[in-house]
Amino acid sequence: MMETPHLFNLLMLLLWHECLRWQERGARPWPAIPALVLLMAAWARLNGETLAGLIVLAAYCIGAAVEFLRAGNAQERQTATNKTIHLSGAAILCVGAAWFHPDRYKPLCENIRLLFLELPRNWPGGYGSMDFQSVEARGFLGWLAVVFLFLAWRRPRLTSGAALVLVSWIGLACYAQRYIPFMVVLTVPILAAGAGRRWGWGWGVLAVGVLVAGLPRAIEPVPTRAVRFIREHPAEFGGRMFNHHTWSGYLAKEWPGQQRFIEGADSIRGYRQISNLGTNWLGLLERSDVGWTLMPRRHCLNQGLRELASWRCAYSDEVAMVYRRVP
Amino acid sequence: MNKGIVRRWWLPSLGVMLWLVFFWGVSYSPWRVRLISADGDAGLHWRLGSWMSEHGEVIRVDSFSYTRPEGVVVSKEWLSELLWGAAGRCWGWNGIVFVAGLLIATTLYLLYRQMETEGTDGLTATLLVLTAALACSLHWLARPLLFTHLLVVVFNWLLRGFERRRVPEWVLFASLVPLMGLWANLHGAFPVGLVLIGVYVAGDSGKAVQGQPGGWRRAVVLGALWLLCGMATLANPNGWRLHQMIIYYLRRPEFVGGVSEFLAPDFHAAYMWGFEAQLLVLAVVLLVMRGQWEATEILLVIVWGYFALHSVRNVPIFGLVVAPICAGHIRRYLQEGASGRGAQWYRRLAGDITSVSLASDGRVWIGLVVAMVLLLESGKLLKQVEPLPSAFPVGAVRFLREHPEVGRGRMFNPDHWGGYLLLEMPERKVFLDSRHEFYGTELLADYRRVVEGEPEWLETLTKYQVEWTLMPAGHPLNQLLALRREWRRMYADRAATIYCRQ
Repeated sequence: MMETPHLFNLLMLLLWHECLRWQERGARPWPAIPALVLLMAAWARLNGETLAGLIVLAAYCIGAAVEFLRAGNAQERQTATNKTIHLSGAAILCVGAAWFHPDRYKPLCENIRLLFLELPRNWPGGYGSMDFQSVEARGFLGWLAVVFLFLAWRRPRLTSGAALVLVSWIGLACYAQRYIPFMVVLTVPILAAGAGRRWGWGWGVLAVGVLVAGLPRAIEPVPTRAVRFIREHPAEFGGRMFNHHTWSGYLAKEWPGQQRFIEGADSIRGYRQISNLGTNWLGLLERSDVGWTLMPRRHCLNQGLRELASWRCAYSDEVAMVYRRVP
Repeated sequence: MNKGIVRRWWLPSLGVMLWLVFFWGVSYSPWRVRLISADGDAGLHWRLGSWMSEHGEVIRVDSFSYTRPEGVVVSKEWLSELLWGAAGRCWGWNGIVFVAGLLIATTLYLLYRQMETEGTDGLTATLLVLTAALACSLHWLARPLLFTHLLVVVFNWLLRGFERRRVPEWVLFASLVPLMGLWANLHGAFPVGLVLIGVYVAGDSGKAVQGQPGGWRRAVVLGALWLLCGMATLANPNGWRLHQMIIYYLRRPEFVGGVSEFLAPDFHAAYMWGFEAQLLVLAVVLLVMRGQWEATEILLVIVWGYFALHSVRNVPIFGLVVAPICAGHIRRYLQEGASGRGAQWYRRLAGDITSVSLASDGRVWIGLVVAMVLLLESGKLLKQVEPLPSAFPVGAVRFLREHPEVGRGRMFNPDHWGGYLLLEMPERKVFLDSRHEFYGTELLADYRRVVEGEPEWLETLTKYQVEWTLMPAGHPLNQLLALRREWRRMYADRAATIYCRQ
């Protein structure tokens, strides 16, 4: 949930949100909007997760339109109109700036696609919903309680944009656990402003506490020794690897040259079919040109392969088992 | 609010219309198949209820499985099961669906009446009932849990009424204590009632600390009610053992972790839309209406919000508890806070709808519809509903009846089919059914070793002397058995596969 690129995203999002809040307070396009475009270009160049920034911008844009509809007099209407125009312009420029990524529009589209996929909770990347029963969820649940108590007791008057950011990001955090830190970083300044700058640093400390509470406690065992064995005997392992999905992140980091069975979410259906021993799992294994498998020791795929004469166990320890096709 | 209004007895009010729509929509639309097809629980309750009627006693010793023969049963819902058994015996699956439809429609009708009695306009109350219905719909299954939904509304209604000094103490005691005793016999989730009362005790104590007059007195009265209700729950055939068993069940991750309804909600799933809609209404109430929140309301949202996020099973309860809170805030906002054109238009529309609804009654329609359905069912004029053939081994059971030589000896079956198999093949004993707490942790661990294809899967089948398996099509166990020479596939369709040991 908190790997290095994600920390970079947090920093970018914090700066991005401050720019937007600055623009909202001043209602002037200069210098917030050029700063937003530059930030977006830098963000896109260094990391692909620009979707988060665009969602925040869209929330403020819609918020400005809502304020126009709710305006009570001509001056308020004029201010809301200016805000809407400036933010809409900024949104168009920022979408353009998001193309500064080496792969152009692809990371943005990939992020949108992953958001709408039905993924299990433990799928790499944190696109699945949070397991609210886990220890890691306590910080998030505590934060939700703080937000609710603050809104119910203090009853702050938030701008439409800030209210939309609050609602949309709490929704996104419930939807995909990778957005929980984003939600905390975005909601802290909104709540602090709603509190009239009271409790000052308390909000920041609370947010850091929530982020720390969300760090994973139980570290899943990874196939360190199995990977070492395979790397020491490269000649024995030909063809594609079929690996356990939760180990994809570890493999990408420890063995960057090795292609994982699942890159992104391309072969989810095929992966599930094979790993759950679905109908025709064997045919699919053949068709995918899988030469060897790297799965947890007690996984059912190992039991299926054990029954086949064409597959043999090449390595086994208490964490992982490696089966390879017999030539 | 409705003093001096002549009610037309023949014109259905909004509440009655909601009852009719939900009763008909759930019981006599394609939803009726879903009511009985989620898993084998409806069949299990029917079978257990029939057994109790036939033997004239509450079930205490199990005779349905070969893995725990003569095991001691602590029945959590014997009274509901009796009702399920009676309905099933009279009208088959149609009877089960009829009872479930009655419970769902009455729950939502009472929720509407609660909001109406508290002064909410008809339009807002209807919209909030629809949102709550959407949240509840994920658990609209023919199970005793529907009694819990109904009783949550009744308890919350009376407790809110007491807090607002509309319900006198004696009514609270005279109704909730016997109802709690009934609840303990109807469904194992009766502690929900004690949690509700406990939240009101804490809320009133909070008010007393804030210096509100009468807060301590109400807290003491509710505390006494909590104690009496707690004692009333002991009036069940198993006494304190029922409580012991529920605590044992909830504390063991082996039981709770393996049941999908006890898992945390997955916001990617479509069944969460109702919950999400309700959270959105709550957000609007908090951010736009910004009314004064009472301590009890804050506690109710936090406690039931936590439970809903912890287990998907609590989402409907959250929906039923939070809807009247939102209704109160919307009512106050419309009366005092809202001044825009949109609010004026809504207020006018809601006022017109409410005046029509208040001038009507139409409860006679509920009686008429129930009488008509009973009459049609008695004459066997309504088409019999059957569980989905794709969700249950309907074809496999037919095959086994036609070929009694197949499937001799001990069977291995998935837990969610246990109830269905007990009902359809009473002559055969199951490996297990969904009563995990009855089968215990050791057997459950063995069961999971087999269904998850762990290294000891074959030894475990041998340990229990399993001679044949009946598993869903596409289950990993079928693929593993297909690779073993001593096992032979005897039957397969799109729902189920039978393998027999040679």
